[in-house]
Amino acid sequence: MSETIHQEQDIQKSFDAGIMKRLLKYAKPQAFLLFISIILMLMVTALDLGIPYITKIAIDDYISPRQQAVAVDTDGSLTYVGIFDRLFGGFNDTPTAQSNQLPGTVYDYQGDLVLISGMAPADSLEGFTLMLDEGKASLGNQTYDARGLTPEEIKALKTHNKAQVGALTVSLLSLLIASFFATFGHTYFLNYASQKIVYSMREELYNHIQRMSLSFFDKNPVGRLVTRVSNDMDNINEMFTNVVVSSVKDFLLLGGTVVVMAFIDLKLTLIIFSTMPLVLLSASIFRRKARKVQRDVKVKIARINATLAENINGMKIIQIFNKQKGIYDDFDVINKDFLDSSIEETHVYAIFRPTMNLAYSLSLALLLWFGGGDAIKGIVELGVLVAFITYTQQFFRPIMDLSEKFNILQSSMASAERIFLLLDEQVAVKNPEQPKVLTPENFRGEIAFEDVWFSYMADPKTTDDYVLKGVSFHAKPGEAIALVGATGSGKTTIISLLNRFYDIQKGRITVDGIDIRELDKRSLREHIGIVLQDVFLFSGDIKGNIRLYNEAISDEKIKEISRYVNADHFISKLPAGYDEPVVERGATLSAGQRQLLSFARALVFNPGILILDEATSNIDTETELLIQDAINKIIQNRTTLIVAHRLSTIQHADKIIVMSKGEIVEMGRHQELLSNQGMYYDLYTLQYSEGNA
Amino acid sequence: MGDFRYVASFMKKHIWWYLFGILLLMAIDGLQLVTPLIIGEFTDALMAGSLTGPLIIKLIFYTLVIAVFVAAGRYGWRMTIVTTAKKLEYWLRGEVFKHLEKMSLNYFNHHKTGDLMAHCTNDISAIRNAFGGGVIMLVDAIFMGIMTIAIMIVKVDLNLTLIALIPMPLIAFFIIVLGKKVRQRFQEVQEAFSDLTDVAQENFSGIRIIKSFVQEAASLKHFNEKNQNNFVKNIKLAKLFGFVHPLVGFITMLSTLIAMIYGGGLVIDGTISIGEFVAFLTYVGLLSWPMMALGFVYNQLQRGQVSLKRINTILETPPEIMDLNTLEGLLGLTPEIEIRNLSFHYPNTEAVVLKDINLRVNKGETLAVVGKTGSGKTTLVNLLLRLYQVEDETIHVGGHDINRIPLQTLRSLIGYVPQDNFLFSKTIKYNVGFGTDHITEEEAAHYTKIAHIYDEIMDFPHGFDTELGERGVNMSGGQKQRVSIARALAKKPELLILDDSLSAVDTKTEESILTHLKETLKDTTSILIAHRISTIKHADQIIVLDGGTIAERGNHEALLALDGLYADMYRKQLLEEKLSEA
Repeated sequence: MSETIHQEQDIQKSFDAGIMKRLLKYAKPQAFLLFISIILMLMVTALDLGIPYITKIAIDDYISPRQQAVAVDTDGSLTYVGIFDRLFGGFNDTPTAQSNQLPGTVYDYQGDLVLISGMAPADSLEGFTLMLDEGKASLGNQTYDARGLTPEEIKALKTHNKAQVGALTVSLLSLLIASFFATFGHTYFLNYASQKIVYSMREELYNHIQRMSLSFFDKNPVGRLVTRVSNDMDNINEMFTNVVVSSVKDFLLLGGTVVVMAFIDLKLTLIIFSTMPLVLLSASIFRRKARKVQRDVKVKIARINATLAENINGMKIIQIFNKQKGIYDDFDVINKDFLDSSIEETHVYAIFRPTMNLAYSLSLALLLWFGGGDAIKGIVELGVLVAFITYTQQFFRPIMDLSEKFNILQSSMASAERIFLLLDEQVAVKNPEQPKVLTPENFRGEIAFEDVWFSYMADPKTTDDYVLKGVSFHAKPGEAIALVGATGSGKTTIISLLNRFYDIQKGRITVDGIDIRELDKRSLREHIGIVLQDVFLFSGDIKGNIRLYNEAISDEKIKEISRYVNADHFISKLPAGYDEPVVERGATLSAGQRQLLSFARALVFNPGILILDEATSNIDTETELLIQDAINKIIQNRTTLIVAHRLSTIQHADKIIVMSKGEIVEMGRHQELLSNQGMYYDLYTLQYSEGNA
Repeated sequence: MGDFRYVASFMKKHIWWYLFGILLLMAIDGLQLVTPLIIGEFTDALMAGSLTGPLIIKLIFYTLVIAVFVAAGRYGWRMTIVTTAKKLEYWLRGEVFKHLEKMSLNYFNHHKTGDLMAHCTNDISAIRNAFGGGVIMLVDAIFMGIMTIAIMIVKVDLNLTLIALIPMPLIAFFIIVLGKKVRQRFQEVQEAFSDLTDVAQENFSGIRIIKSFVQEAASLKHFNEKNQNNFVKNIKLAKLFGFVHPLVGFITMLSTLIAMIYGGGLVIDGTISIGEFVAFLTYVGLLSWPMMALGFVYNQLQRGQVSLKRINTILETPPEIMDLNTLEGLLGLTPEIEIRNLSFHYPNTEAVVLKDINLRVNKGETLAVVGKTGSGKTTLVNLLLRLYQVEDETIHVGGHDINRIPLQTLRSLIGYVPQDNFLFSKTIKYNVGFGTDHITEEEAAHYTKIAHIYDEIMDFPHGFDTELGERGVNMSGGQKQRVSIARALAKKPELLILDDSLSAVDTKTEESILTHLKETLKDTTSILIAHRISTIKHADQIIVLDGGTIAERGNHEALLALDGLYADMYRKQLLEEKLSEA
């Protein structure tokens, strides 16, 4: 556990274009969905931008208009212009639906409504004068008729305006509904695409790890590999769902806001933008500080976890040595150190967010100052100002969210880098380019080791580095070979090599006369059944542990084999028989039972070669007899390589190989070796006396 | 409230600071609500034509002053509330660790390291989040919500406010109904994820079997089933979440629509001013955040409470072994041991591990314990170290009942070399001096020489300052054993216990270490557990344990003459020795 933590702290990049490019390659199959998701998101953005715009129209044109466009009939009666005519006709266009109508403007003169016939609502009211007493108004060098509205006309206008506000609200509602569905669609498609990407990356990574040779698993703790497949992949998902696409959105929203703002009023837009240097500067300072402080926090929490795990594991020693106080003080230092960094992190964030807020307020103040001045002069309408206030808010929101995205981006980049490092790892034991295949028809099961030298080290130098030093032996089809010798003499290594879990440095291993390096790995291993000392059971049920996912093997076959290897005896006694659940590692079964189960597992595949690593663990007498009997049965008619611990097994072997320190010291039949009075003789007497004890 | 009983002592000390933060938060929230009022006044003045340069300056001045206060205040409450929560995290972690240090070995046998680690990391950070971000959001949401509504009523219009708020209860409804569903689907996602992790874990662990039986394709298929399930569950959550998330915004916008159609009419009729109307729209917009926050914070606080309960459980589990009715004023102990009619079984198990043990070891004597794996040797030592609780009057050390001797006094008497050689990932010097307050380089050299590890330490890049563990040197089992021996010796123990501590050392080194030990530890009482007879044949007293009882006892010669278990073991080992030399 602690090892993983220490290993993980090395890679700390916030952004790497190469990694990003490679990640996007995985996104390619989902490009269409991502594209739809982005389109929907743009729709949402456009709709979001439309909302303040419609609000602006409602306020400026109907709720509180300074000038309102109307049409005046020849008889002087008013026609009120509807919202849609105006939306499609433009703000200043003269309504000319009927040629006998004149354009007109209802002007709000300090609460009194005045009709100015012939004048369309003007962009700027500079130089506008109203002479109500004379019934005239002039703008520039034009003079128009002006009169106050009658109470009836005012009532009609208000009713009309309320109806228009209602119509606008309804169109706003339809925008909202559209936006709701578009948001839903966007979220759904985005998550779908992102999960699909992660699904296939997971599959690829899992398959890649699975294909690696055993030497890879010797080097990499399982916990670390599992983290790559699980948590690191989830980080990638986080990035796709929370950063990549929403960054596009933020970017477009920012851009869109700016365009709309500039479209409405360029000057005010530039004014609001004048705070940008401050924003950019503080964002870049923040980025740098946040990265450092986040790294600190991560490293320190990892150290806390590693220390905790170590201290919990070593609690016995701590207590026996009366070190509780000292260890607590040491832990407190680390804990305090983390607290300090963690508070520093709060500090950085506590400065950044308010700074952005301040920039926002500054922009707002500038808007009020310049916008207010313009409004007094009548250059800017109130609605424009109100809209700008909203846009300014909209503009600052993604900037404020920056800190969170930055966090996600950083951790997903680190995860991606680790995943790619793993994917780039080469398989050490490669399949030949044109592999030979052992067909079941022609398979005989002859094994030969010819001067095999092997070391677990990548680059062995001295003879001592080798685990096997020039091992040669030969097994004829159907023979049973027993390997005996002390722990570490190389017996287990021989087994691993025959399966080609590792490649040897010197010499040759052949099966049926073919070098196993020329064989298809799959074809080779299909012919070899294996029973390991430490029986690995998968969680699931008994049946599943015998057939190992291979659905082609029928339940009947499983039972038949189990009876044959004496496993049926205990299996049928289990409450659910062959369907009895097996918990992780088969903790509920005894060592002997697990051994019998693994015999069944090996035999159900009917291998031509059987490798048998006998269990040394304490097994009760009854089970011991069953195992013995099973072994005698299963070695019939197939070449068997046994790492032997039992007297009877050894005696039945066709050939006994005595190993010591990676070399074969004696080889022969039981009686021959006994009469030699060598190492085997000593071993045998030792075992024999043990058998009597 | 009962769940807060343990953290109360921390909160008592920090409550004022914490409350200050909360008050600050509320003050800032209140201040933030002033800005829309200013904009409203601005708009009104503009419409009324009474907007003048000086008025604009005044309003801008207010805006900026508020902005500065808000910025300072935000910094302030973050630094008070969040910092207090982080201090709570620090304090709790320390408390939990301190408590774990008091727990007996039995506790650790029943609580996996991984689970304890999860409590120390996940649970404690969930508590921190609840006390930090959770409380902030809760206060913020409630206060902002109430304030906003109050201002809407006072400043604008009661009827308009009530009508505009009509859709809001819908949000509360959806949060409660859909929130439950979201949690449920979230749980499903977590389960699917942990399934996937389990399969990867198991199949990578069993890779040898998978490869041997050429089941890679099937294993991938199996993994992909879990992968697919994880995918489906995530999509299910995304679907719901994709619905819930815009829903809150949608409902809030409904309020805006109502405000516009009804409030717009009020403006047209002249009931309220346009400025009030604009401010009102802003306030309605402001309400969406508290609504969303409440749903989120509900979850977070709930999670914090569950974690708090779990931490309370740890902190309130009493240690099984502690000083109770201990002898006061006990200054030293004579290193002599007397065991009378000791029988023992591990807590919550039935199998008897030791049965009717009677034994006496005098000061300066050496006792050797031999026997098969599982015969009770290590248990016997564990009891002498009082790692498990025994009945009164069964074990006596220095003439006192072991249960009456303060733990610290008992353990400072003993130098112990365990079977599993646990060293800390620190320097070699730290490890050698582990049982002492301070160790000089000379002392360290002295003890490591006795333990026959000095030369090898000197070969390491930094000598005694070499770091052990994954960041430094990985020692072999034999090296670790010898450092453990030096560690026990450096404590200058009066009672030395070696629990099969020379198993990974070759016979020659072993002999040499033993000779050295004998010289330096003339007055020390020692207990040796060993497999190799050669290790212990000179002991004053040898006992052979078999199935938890003393099967044979005596010295080497006497036991050989008995021709029982001991003699048998001895003969086998002679043979083995011969083999290993072959």
